[in-house]
Amino acid sequence: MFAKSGMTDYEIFSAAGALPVQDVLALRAWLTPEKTLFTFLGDDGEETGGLTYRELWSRCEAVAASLALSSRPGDRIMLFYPPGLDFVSAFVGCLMAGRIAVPVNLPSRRRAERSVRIIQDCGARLALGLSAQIDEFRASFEGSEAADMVWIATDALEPGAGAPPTSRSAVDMNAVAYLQYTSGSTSNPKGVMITFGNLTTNCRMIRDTLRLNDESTMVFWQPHHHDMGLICAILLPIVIGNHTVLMAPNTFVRQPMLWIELIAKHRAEVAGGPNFAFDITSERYSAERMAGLDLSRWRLALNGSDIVRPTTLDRFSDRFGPHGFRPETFLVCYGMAEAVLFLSAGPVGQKPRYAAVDVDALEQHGQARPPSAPEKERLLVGCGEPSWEVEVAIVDPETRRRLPDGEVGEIWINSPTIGIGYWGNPEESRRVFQARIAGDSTKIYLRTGDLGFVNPDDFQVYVCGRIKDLIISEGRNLHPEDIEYSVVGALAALGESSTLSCAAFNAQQGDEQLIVAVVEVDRSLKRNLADRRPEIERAVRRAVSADHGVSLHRLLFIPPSAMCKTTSGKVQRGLMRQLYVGGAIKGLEPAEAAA
Amino acid sequence: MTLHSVEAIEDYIADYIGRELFISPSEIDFSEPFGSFGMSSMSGVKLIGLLEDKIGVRINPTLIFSNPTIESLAKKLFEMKVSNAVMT
Repeated sequence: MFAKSGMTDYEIFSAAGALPVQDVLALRAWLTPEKTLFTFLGDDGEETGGLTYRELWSRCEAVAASLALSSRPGDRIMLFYPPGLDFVSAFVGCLMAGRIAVPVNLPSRRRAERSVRIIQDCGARLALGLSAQIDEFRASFEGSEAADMVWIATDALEPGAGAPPTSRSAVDMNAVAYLQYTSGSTSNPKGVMITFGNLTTNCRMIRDTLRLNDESTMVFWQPHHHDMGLICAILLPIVIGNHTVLMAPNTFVRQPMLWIELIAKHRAEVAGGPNFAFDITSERYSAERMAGLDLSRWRLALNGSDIVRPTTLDRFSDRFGPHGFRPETFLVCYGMAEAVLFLSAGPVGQKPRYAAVDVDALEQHGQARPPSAPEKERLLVGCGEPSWEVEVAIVDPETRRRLPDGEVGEIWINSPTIGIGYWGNPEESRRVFQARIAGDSTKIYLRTGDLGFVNPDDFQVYVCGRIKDLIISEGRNLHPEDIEYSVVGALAALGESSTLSCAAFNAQQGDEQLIVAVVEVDRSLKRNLADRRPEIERAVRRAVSADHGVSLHRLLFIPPSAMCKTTSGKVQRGLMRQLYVGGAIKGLEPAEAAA
Repeated sequence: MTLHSVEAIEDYIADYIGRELFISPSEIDFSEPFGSFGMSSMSGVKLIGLLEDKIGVRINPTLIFSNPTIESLAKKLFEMKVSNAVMT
């Protein structure tokens, strides 16, 4: 493939958009071996690591060589890494070796269960990590089904010494490259199977939609076990051949201004995150720290994976406008791990589009209507125009009929980036990944579970909510049943019944997306609430944050039989949420509980 | 705004936790461990950054483990602020 003296810019561009990512890395290690690909920054923004294209290739080769000795093609390989560059070589090393990479969040003592369930689900027997952490992970898996995991410390491997190969790898583009476990609850994890072809296509789509090239410097802090961090911050850079500056999520959350300083310092073109990232950065704005900084080179401020709020965009523009930030820099995006990452954005260089809808019609009837009165207006932000490679259909989720333009329905997607299903779950895979529109059997679609509409006037996808009762918090998807399990478990640990009904859901208050849990009391809980309510509430909140790392914002106790249930006794979360939003749920007052 | 006393630091932390959890700061016991409030891990990290800005010292996140209550952390942070001021 590269057995020639050089390649034209057209050839390089086509090759990077067509080859598997590991081959693009080999190509770039040959073309620009000494160019810095990644710089990693520590807690105070100091440089703690860096990799050139050639160095990354050598490290990946070492990982691939080690995997060749210890596993077989197609084996699932768990990746347990803290934020940092070791993850990158482990992930791409798996791709090179034709092993299926499974990136996951680190297990903690409280949260080992999620990792164990994923390991069981995908049947992995080998895990990669850092020598300093492996013993700790072994200890947290002790006594579990993951106890006999074989571990390789990739930081201890000697980087490969050979030159990059000059012929393309024999990889089948339809083979699974990695599993993305961001869907599914703890008890029922779902690993999206993404092929080499899906991955290459999605990186190319992002590159083309965003008009990126090898000079498009990026600054990212997203966790690598999430789709945005994995694709935008780690794999896309290899494809476009740029320099990317990375830092840990906690570094950003602790000092958001550091992120802004880095964007200015590195004259970065691309940086972004979920909506909350722009909120906390505005909150922490410091004129002193901004002195002399210029943000005018920042071309794309990606905002995706959570609900985008007009007020967030306005406030950020007000704060950073005087420093060269332009409102048209915001690039609102839509996508999901089931389709690698990216589906729609832009057009680049234009301000985000808004649609004003009636909040009651939307919340209660799922319809996008013009506001009936000024105070009923809710502004939705357009999540961009679908890539030319993506077809969006708005479908009635019950009848599976295509809905006319402008009506709200489930968002269905046809795209070459749709994964081939959930690992080991053919039934659910068929339902979600191979849906067919009534009266049109020519194409298959991904059912996103998102409700939305496409505005025929501006081609934008507007996302209005979820069909599934998913809870979205700070860009993460949480399953209500996991939160409910923690709430009921905490009450049971206090001696209450372990069969109390609980409904957990998201509710919007002002600009905040709150996590609410409603618990139906029985006689014993009612009595105990009267005596020691603060203690009980604290125990519940503590359990939710320890299990899931999120704050429970509202905890309501409701009288016996006030919970809406189906005839089979299942809690009707959606209905409880509607009642809550409509102000129709009244929690027991402390005095009432005493009565 | 800067925080000039142990009490001011305590009140600032309690206010923050109250805002994050939608509870009244009066319900917050200064001698309870941070872990008992049920704050998200992100809220904890945000608090450290805010305190760094307000007090003007670099805070190692492990300081929370050795000073796990509002009372003890505020005291420790105030000491750090004072010794910082003496040195500079």
